[in-house]
Amino acid sequence: MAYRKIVHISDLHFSEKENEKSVLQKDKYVNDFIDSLKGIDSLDTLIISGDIVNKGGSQGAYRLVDSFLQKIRDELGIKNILCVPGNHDVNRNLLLGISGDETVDTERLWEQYDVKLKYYWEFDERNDFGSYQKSGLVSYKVLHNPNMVLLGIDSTDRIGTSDHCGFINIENLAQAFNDVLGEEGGNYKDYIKIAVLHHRPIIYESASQRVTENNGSDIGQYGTCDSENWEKTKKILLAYDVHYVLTGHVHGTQSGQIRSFDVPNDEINYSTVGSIGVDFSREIKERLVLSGDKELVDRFEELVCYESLNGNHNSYNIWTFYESGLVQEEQYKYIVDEGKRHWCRWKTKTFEDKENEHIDKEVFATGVQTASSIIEEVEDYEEKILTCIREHELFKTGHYHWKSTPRLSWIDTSYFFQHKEMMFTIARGINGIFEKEEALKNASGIIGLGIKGAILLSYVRFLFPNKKCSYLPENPKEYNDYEKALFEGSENINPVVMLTDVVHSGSVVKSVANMFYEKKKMYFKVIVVAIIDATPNGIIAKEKRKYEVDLFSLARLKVIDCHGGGENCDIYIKKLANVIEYKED
Amino acid sequence: MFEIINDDQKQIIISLHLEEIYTEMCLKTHLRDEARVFSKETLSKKCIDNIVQLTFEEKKYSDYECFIDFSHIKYIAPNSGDKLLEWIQNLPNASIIHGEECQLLKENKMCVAYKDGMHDYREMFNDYGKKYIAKNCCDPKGYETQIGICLGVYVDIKKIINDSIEMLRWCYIIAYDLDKYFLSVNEDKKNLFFCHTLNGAYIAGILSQLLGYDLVYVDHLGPYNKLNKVDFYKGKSRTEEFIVVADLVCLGNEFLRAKNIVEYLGGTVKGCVGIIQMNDSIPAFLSPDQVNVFALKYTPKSAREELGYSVRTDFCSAQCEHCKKGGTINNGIS
Repeated sequence: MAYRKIVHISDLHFSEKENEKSVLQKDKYVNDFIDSLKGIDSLDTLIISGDIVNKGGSQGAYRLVDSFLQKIRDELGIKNILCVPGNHDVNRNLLLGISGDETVDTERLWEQYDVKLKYYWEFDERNDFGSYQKSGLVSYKVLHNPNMVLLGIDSTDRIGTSDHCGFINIENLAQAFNDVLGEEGGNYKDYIKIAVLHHRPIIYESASQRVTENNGSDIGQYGTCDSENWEKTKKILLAYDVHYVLTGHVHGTQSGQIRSFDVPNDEINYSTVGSIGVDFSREIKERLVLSGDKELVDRFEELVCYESLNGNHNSYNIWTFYESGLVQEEQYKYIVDEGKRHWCRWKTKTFEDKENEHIDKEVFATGVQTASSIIEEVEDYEEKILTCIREHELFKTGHYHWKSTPRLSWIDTSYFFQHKEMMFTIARGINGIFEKEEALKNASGIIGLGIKGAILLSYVRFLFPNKKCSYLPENPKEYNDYEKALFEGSENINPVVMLTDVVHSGSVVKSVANMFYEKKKMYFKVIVVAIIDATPNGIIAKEKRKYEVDLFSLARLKVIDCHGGGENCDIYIKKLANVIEYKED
Repeated sequence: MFEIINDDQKQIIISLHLEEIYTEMCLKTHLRDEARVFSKETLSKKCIDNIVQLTFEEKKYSDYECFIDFSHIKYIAPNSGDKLLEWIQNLPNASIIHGEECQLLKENKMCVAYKDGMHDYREMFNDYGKKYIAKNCCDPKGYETQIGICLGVYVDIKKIINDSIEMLRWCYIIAYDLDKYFLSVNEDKKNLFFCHTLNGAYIAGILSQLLGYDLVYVDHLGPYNKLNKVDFYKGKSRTEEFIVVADLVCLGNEFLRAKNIVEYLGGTVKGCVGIIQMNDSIPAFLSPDQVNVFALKYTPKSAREELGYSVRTDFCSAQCEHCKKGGTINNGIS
């Protein structure tokens, strides 16, 4: 199947000033970025959605970007680069310089396209971005196999000496589309068409990925496009079959379709990529130093990680356009893990291109049996679980204590249990563990731990109709006489299989195992089957002469413990056990 | 697997739909995104292969009537119809119930009309269920709850759960009635289950697979559930309509607490489902138009007489019927 991969970056913010330098001006960062893209088949195109430099008046900064792009071309074999200007590319000094000129309408300085983006146009010319006009459609590229048209749109139309929200010159755009794409897009009828602009046209609601219309003021005056102007732009895009809009500007990554009461589905897939260039570490460090809190400065790396996960982050997207019409969007973030920074695939979305919807459905309908058996063989449960955690922001950070176990982060698994499709995935994974592990095949009984263990058990119980199954509260102190009696009639339950959601220190497993031992007074084996293994080294220590523990899980995750450490932690010292505080989004 | 044998009336009944659902639940293929196991209308080859193993050849069954309940079954797997028909014809005194919609029976002119004296699986379950509870789940030692209410008999629902695959039968009955209820009110939307106990969560998990509904849980009703409440509150589903899933409902206090939490967080409670309801009228906490589906329903009188079930507090008069009969419970309160 023929496909093309496109990397989308935005907000590079190159600068000649020492204290404003882009993180792209650091060799290690650039090398990490390039290394993460090396070896990807069919990656031949780069899209840059604006804010190339931090200040549009810096000609030298654009020269630095030239070198960066050359390195990309040389090392990755990128053949096509499409770029659009952003608000930071506007050269306000040059505009101020001509403001006294009698031939210039000072009220409409933003119309001086040649002047306000002078250094950008020079940069454009040097790099062959496929320039067309100086407002409306500023650049375009036609690609083949798969056939695509990339359309660079200027959203800085109303930005002059002062800032303005995104605005597009509709007249110029309509004319250019007609000239380039032909009447009703006839010149490139079956081509996938992608519009690229700097400003995000809409607001996204982070939790549900639902997106709503915006009048440009909700997230700051200049955060998005003028809504009236965008409505007109959208009509032009849809008239020419443009269903993808890629943007930047807000330094955070989000994507989705508009789904509101007024507009059930506006048929455009919006994708905003975070900044690749802003040095968030510097910003955070400056804030920490100003705060004067030495401990916070010491925990700088951790905080950068939290900050970048919760809000702004360095990121890029990779798009894959298949000839069949399938489209995949992969979001990558630069994260800190165990003190090391690296690029990590954060989220993947796959959908069908509208034009090919019917064809794909037919293909899937006839091939469903084969497809599902193939999926079963290669299903990556860890990837699915981690993607779900990332996508729904289930990894909470902050400071909380559960009993005396101090933690700075925890995984909110309740989402899994409250969404059937996720439970099905997990149940398939657990069934896979039972099928694969010999020790589990022979286990005669399964115990679900806690309310989550009970739900989990209900999903897998009938897959093992001959095994004894039950569930217990997580805390043996809560057992009533009837629950304690469960152990009495279970001479043959060895090994004991315990089903649970997350294992961290293993204290719950141990307390139930101890209760079991007190009743049976015999050495036995516990096999823990967990959705997530968050133990430091994948082991739960055995209890000499009582029991040993094996642990199987669908995914492994690192959970960070409290920096203060058990007895040194304020929350622990003040005996605030069970106080739960975590950072709200 | 799930046939009901009533020795008093000398009747055996088999629900083909329940057998099919069990077959499906034992296969990992049901763990797929759009699965709604209860809506299965086709009897699979694998299920028929299992059913025909049931022969009732023992002498004691020779004069039993055998009812084959075809409710919800419209189609038979290709090339398996003859096998099923042959098996039915070989059963002694076999009758077919609810076969009107089954293509195979229509083609073979075997649809037997429902007539007096015939009981379908749901009806025969009432008798079976009550005997099962009385025999397996009742502890006459009684139980004192955390809020000071003393139960004359403790009904241990977990005995059903621990009894191999028995719980599927009880959950099937709930799903059967719930499906019937929503059909009667012409509603076809996906509901949400709300559970707050371990038993409720397990039952909700099975019902969720049978009916295709999502579930929302609160990890216990109590002062230390802030964590889950916060997540529940933040979830998109908080303004939805919920059906509370319980194990056993007597006075309805726990249901009311669950209802209060759901409503406080912006949701609406549509009703309650569960295994046993000890007071079939339930006017105190459910309005007549709300969902009120339980596998078994007792009247206070039948619960007292059949199970010895009573509820007493410190304020109970020594003149109450239970006390007059000399009833005591082991915690000293009588």
